[in-house]
Amino acid sequence: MSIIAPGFSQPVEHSQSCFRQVLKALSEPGHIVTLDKHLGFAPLCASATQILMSLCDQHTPLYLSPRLEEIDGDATINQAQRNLTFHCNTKPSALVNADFAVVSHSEGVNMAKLKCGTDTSPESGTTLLVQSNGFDRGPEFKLTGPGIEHSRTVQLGNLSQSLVEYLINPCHTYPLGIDILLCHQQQLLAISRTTKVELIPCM
Amino acid sequence: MQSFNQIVSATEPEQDYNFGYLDEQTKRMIRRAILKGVALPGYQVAFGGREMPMPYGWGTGGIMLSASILGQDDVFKVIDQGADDTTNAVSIRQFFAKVCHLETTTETAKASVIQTRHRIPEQPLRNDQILVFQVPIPEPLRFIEPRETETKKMHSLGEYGSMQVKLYEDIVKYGYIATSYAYPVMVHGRYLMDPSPIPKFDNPKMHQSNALMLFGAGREKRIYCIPPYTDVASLDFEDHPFSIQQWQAPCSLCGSETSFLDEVLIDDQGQRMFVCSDTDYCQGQLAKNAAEEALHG
Ligand SMILES: [Zn+2]
Repeated sequence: MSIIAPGFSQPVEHSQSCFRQVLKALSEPGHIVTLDKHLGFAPLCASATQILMSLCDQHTPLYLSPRLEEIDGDATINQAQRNLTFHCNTKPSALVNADFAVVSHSEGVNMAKLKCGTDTSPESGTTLLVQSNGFDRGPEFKLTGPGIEHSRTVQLGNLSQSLVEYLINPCHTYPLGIDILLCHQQQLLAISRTTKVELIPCM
Repeated sequence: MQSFNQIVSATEPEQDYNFGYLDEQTKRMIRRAILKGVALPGYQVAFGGREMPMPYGWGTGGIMLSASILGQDDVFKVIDQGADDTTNAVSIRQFFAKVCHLETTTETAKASVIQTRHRIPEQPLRNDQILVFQVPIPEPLRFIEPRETETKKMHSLGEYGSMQVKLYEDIVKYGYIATSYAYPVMVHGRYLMDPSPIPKFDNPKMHQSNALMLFGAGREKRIYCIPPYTDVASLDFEDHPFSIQQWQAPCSLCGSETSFLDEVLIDDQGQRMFVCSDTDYCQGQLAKNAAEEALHG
């Protein structure tokens, strides 16, 4: 059964306002913003759905991980994909070719396989959306770098070992890299490739 | 060629323009480029797409950025060389008032987005403000190396020795660094960036700025960004540290000793005076002076 769900009720205004929230989040890594213009295409959460709806189209290969289905047992990734294709014209893609990819917080991701840009075009790296299980759980990280005055302490949810590993010790060297948008319900928190992430040891 | 003013007057509010004038496809592309630019401070992101429906030379790059970020809740200010009242600034402001149905202002403090040509406002910006620069030539190495393929390589390797040499030639020739506008900066210790033709007086304002800064070049279709709280260093030498312009006397109108001054002719005899280039700041200072005078008699 495939039912197309409605997209943004006001596509032009809502795309603009979501973009501004994403811009705020990425230019100030660790700062949590709220995207409240759409409930989301399950199993994608509200913020992840809105990011994709405001930024993606036929030019941006999109990967949605089947592991997201574990979050919402009733909804399939195909359903979400069909909705996004209907509203934004997105084309499904393999993870290695994706401009935008959505994965679950708990899954192991081979980050070295993702597009990280090239020396002369570092901007061609993947934007990775990670569906978190909440910014009030998981280990604490200290963030420093552009967009952060002094430093910021954040929790990112219970992330898989490979995601934590990449945040702390990325396999790509700046300016190459992957920009990470952590999504939980309506919330978004970004970690830019410029962000230095340190694990705060448990007391 | 049609002037920007003609375009503005032809843009009727009752016409059914897409909000912000650009089509959604173009906005999305520019928005994606902005986000990559934010993740790569100082790096020039190229974006493709169709031609802007307006001629170059009226700040097309800035207009494209503004059109892609502005929403109905924004309060928009436009300055041209520091002034809100030049033909160009007025036209761009009216244009966006029409195509975005938003509020405009001349007050720096009231604006959420400020589009600028050649200046950064004197009043320190806040974290909830965005500054959009119009850029004529985005490539700081263009005058040293005209070939795009080569400048791309130089950026990828961080090979900026030739820029240092150019500045040092100034010192050899004049005894000081003669470059006073579009003075090159290093952003986040990685990319050499042209801050657009602002006076070098404004360069220190970019360092660890509270506000996000976006730069747009329309003709060459390049976008680059500086997130808030990012290191921005003007190139210099140990024996010739970077310094900003200074004036002998304060502003003739408001008496400010800390703002960037323009020389203006005041009569036919060639008499001159120096006044703030930032007109909103100057008016603000004048009002403050008047209020203080009223208070203390
Ligand atoms: Zn003044």
